[in-house]
Order: sequence, then C-alpha cells, then structure tokens
Amino acid sequence: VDHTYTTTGLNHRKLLMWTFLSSDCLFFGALIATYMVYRGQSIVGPYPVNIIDVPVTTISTFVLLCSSFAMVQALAATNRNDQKGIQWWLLATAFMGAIFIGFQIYEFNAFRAEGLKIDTNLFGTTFFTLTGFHGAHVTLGIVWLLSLYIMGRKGRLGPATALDVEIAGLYWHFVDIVWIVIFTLLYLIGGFDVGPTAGLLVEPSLLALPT
Amino acid sequence: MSTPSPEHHDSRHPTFKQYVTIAIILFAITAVEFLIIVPQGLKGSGVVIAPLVALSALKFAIVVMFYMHLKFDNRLLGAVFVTGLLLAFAAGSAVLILFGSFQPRPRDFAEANAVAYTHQAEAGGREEVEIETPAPGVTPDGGTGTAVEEPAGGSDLVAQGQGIFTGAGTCAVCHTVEGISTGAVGPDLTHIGTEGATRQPGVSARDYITESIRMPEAFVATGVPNAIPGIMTGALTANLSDDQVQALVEFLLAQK
Repeated sequence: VDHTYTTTGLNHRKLLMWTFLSSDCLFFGALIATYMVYRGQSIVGPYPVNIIDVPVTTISTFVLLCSSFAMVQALAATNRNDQKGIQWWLLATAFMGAIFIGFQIYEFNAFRAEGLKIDTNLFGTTFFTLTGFHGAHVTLGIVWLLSLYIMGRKGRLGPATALDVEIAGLYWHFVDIVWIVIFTLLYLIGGFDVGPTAGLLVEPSLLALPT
Repeated sequence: MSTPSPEHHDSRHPTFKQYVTIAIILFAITAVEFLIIVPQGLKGSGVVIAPLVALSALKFAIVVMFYMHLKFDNRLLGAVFVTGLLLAFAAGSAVLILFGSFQPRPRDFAEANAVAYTHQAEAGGREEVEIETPAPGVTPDGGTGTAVEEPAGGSDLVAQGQGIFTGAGTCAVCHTVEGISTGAVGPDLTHIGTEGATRQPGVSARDYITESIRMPEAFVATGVPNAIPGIMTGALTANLSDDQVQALVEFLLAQK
C-alpha cells in the first residue's frame, strides 16, 4: 500500500485512472449515442439482421466476463504475494482477452465477406467505429497485462506493488463493462434490426401514402 | 494458486468464494439475457428492450462495485466516475433527442429511400432469404389451397410461388388473394390470372404480372380499388431472384 501523502488522501495514480475511466465513459458514450441515432437509418444493406450473429458473440462475451474474474484473482494473488498465482492469473486474463479479440477479427472478416465495410452504410460506419475502438481498448489492455506478466516473472510484483496490478485491473474491468453495454445495445437489441423494406413485414402502416 | 486466501490483509475486499459467487451471478445474468431473445417472436421486439437494459445495467453495477472495488473504496473515486458516467448518459440522451430518435417515426427517411438488400452470392455465408416451399395444396396459414389450379408451369412452381407470396416476397402484407391473404394496401389479386390480360391492350396476363412485380411503377391499373401510384416500387421486389419471380407469376396466373 502506498503511504505517500497527497492532498486528497488518495493515491494519485489511482485517482488518475478513475478520472481517465470517467472521461472514457464520455468517449464511448458519444460513439454509442451516434450508433443509436443512426440505428435503422441505413438505406442500403447489409442490415444488422442479415449479418449479426448473436450466439457467437454471446460466447465471446462470456470469455470477456471470465477474464474479469481472472483479473480479480491476479490482484488477490498479488496482495497475498502468491508469485505463481500472479503470473498464472495475469496470463489467463491476457489470454482470454486475446480470445475475445480473435472472435472480433473473425466477426469483422465475416462481415466484410458479406459486404459490410465501414463505408457501406450508416450501420457499418457506426458499428465498426464503436466496436473497433472497443477492440483497440482490449488490445491495449492485453499489452498492459503482458507487461505486468513479465514484471511478475522477474518477481517485481507483490503486496508492495499491488497498485500496479490494481490500476491495470480497473482499466480491464472498465473495458468489460463497456462491452456489457455494447453487447446489449448492438447485439441483443439492435442485432435483429431489419432493413426498411423488410420492415413492411412488421408494420404496413409505415407505408407513406402519397396525398 | 486459486486457493481461498484467509491471510488476505484487506478485509474490505471480497473473498475468493464471494468472487466466484459474483462471477456465477454475472454468468447467469448473461445467460438470461441470451435466453430472452431466443424465442422467435421476441427477436427485435420492443418488449425485450426494458428487461435487457435493466439486466445489463445490473451487470454493469456489479462489476463496478465488486470487481472494481468501488463499493469498498473511497467515495471520491466513485464520485469522479459517476460524474463522467452521468455526463455521458446526459450528452447521449441529448443527442438522441436532438436527432428525433425518440419520435414516433424516426425511420421515415430510410423507409422512403431504402434499397432492398440483395444477398451477395459470392459471400458463401448464411442464407438470407428463406423460401418457404409448402406442400402442394397446403397454404402456410393452414387454409385450403383449392384455388390453385394446374397451370403450364406445374403445381410445384405454383406452390413455391405461393410460399414467396406469403413469405419472402412479403406480397401478402398488402395484397388480398381470397383464402390466402387479407392485405388491403394494394389491389386485390384474387382473379389476377384472368384480369391481368385485360389491364393493358395487347399485353398478356403473364407479361403484365411480371412487369407489375419487377417494375410496378411502369403501369398502375386504374379503376381498381387500392391502386395507388407510387406505393409499390421495384425496390420491394429487388431481393427476389428471377426464379422466385417466375414462381410468383405462375402462382398469380393460377388465380383465375
């Protein structure tokens, strides 16, 4: 535990990380709001229902949730100076993050093969920008975790440096909760959005009658 | 390595067992979220939005409070984070209101300008348009198929055409064929097999029906109820293949 005196009584690095995460809420909030504004506004396909694969993404969501559990264990191991545990759980967290990214690469490639690129329609633009930035966050987190793993191998992690692991953990969990929101809005709710023409199937009243 | 940690110094942090419990709860919530959208009728339905948002907010809160220790940590950290979270929520809501996303018909522009999506064959991916092929003489809605007569193309094609009429082609939404559909937006097609030949001088029923499917704008019948120009466009049928249109034409020709 860091006993350095600060005006807030809080460790500055930890306060900085929370401030950063707070601002990152605004960053992702803007991208999510943009997706929602343009939801259902694409006038050319593919539309979400044509390509979004909810079951596959549910699996990768489970993997990311698992990685958060592993991250918590890595911090617990650090606090009790369990060197083997530190390395094992850090590596497990990074590995599961990598699996998540693997799923995302698969998904992006599948979408591209089906004709959805970032400039195809509003759905493509907002989808790839939002999930792409989230993927970038995960990738950065993996690099961070692997650096910690190397520190761990050199025996430089333990109760005295637990804050190093804790701050990385805060970042990692944040990336997880952002995905919780994205998964719900873009997949569970928005993943079945049909194109406007197919919309006739559900709501004939949407037909604009010429006057 | 994964043993419980009785020697844990900070008693405010959850124990290993509690962490496992939290993980199981998060898993269970995710499983419930997935199961909610499994029933066909609930996919993309507005009914599921509220429970899904509530469940994901619950997961969000659990991760922040326990995995990120905010429940046990200094309140200033929580205040800093919640400030950003609320600001993001407020700004996002403002943007959605500004762009009219909460208004009753936010999709009007897209509805009016859309191009139907034709699945790319080279993708080799999943099937997009499922063609319903009911058994001959049986309509998908369980009604009687006795109106279907034996035309030149054979009853298989007629049955396939009927499947497209009520299914992928979405024709039945707007058009009535007695005993099969009740749509009232476009002209009644119950006797289109005979009437089709009388609409345009010198144009056979087959050619007339084909044109009316592919290029409905080209000629709009007059003196027919619900024949309103401009409602039906080629975009509505652009996702149908030539084979599908052919089956559809055979089905409609059989409606004497």
